[in-house]
Amino acid sequence: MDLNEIAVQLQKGAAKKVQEMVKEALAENMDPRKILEEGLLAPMGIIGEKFKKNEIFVPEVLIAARALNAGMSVLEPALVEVGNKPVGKAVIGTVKGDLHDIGKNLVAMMLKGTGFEVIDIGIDVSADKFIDKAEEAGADIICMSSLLTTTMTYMTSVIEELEKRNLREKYIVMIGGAPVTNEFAKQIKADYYTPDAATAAEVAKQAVLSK
Amino acid sequence: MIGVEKNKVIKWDGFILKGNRDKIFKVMDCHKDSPVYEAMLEVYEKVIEEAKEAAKPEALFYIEEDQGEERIAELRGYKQAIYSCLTIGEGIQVLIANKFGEGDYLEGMMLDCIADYFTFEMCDTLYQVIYEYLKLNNMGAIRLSPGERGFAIEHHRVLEEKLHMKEMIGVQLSDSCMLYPVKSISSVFVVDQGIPLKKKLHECKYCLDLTCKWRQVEDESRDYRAS
Repeated sequence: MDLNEIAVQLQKGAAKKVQEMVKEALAENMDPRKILEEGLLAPMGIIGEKFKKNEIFVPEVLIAARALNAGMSVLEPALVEVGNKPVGKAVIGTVKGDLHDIGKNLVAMMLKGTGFEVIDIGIDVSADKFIDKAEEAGADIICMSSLLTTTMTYMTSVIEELEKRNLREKYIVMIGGAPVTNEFAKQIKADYYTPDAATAAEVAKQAVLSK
Repeated sequence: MIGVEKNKVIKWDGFILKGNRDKIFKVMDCHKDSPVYEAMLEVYEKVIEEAKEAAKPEALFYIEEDQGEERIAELRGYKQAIYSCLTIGEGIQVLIANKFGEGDYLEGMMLDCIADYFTFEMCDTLYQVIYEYLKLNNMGAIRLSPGERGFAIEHHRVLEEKLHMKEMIGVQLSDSCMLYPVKSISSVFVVDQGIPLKKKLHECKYCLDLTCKWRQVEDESRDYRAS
């Protein structure tokens, strides 16, 4: 099986074809990790890059992510069998008081597409829940999202709670959302602010690899 | 036209939700020359039906004659107020959350956009009722929406008190005074004779939110932010 062909089909969003080809590759005893890296994650990285450069738009990313999911559904059991480790683990949620989740969902999608295990804890998430889930999952990153100026200040509470529990250094803290800025990230001592989902995934990967 | 009675909460659920594929696609940045356009069409045909089935559009409004609401400073000096709240219900919210939960981001995103459009359609319908009432009484109105343009989100508590939203249509307030289901829209109309009567509730070209995706769709589109 030519993994490049899987990559091409993934970029086209041909979910069924990707799934079939992953099955074939597994039947040929190819290393599931190689299938993941070269057949699925590499083309998803290209998609993310193109999206960042405005060469493609959200639908193309969504369609590709759907194909990625189709491939992963077949590949996952094989990955577990060989003890494959994700790039990192990310706990992601929208902060307390805020019920918006579209931006957060896009970031979760891109993180998965970069090889992260993502623990999505939903909307209206308290500081305790962010931290407890991160501890429970053995996460590397805590990602917080907020759509409103009135709720973004809650991100401070999460960081303060991390400090209070002496866990601040343990986690990479990333923030994002429409009203959030780099200045705000610096002000509340978050590690990273990223303006879009593709950049978030890229920065998260670099941050974990250099941790 | 819906019968309009003053000083009484009126519930209405006769909305017809159609959706608008072209506008929804434009908001999602899906253009006809996109290589994934055909695939998107297929998904749209599937999810629009799911969305219509899951939606439970309901609205409340309350015309307060001789209003003297002291808690909302913006109402002082005006004769009447109209409080309204509409929602497409929790079912569609759950459907969207499930799609995302299952990792189907495409269907989740598209449903979310459709749900937005449904609420806009509902706004249109409801405003026509209010418009007819205003016209009949030679009055105009200014729309205020809690959480937008400095109009305190906490005013949702006043709306809850007046409309009994939770009990009547299942719309709840979070601790931070946001509406749940999220695809709900609330308004307070300041009503008086001196205010010009607008036929359209909102015109994107006059809106201050220059980055709004719905603004970019078409001139006649509305995003129903307070205006």
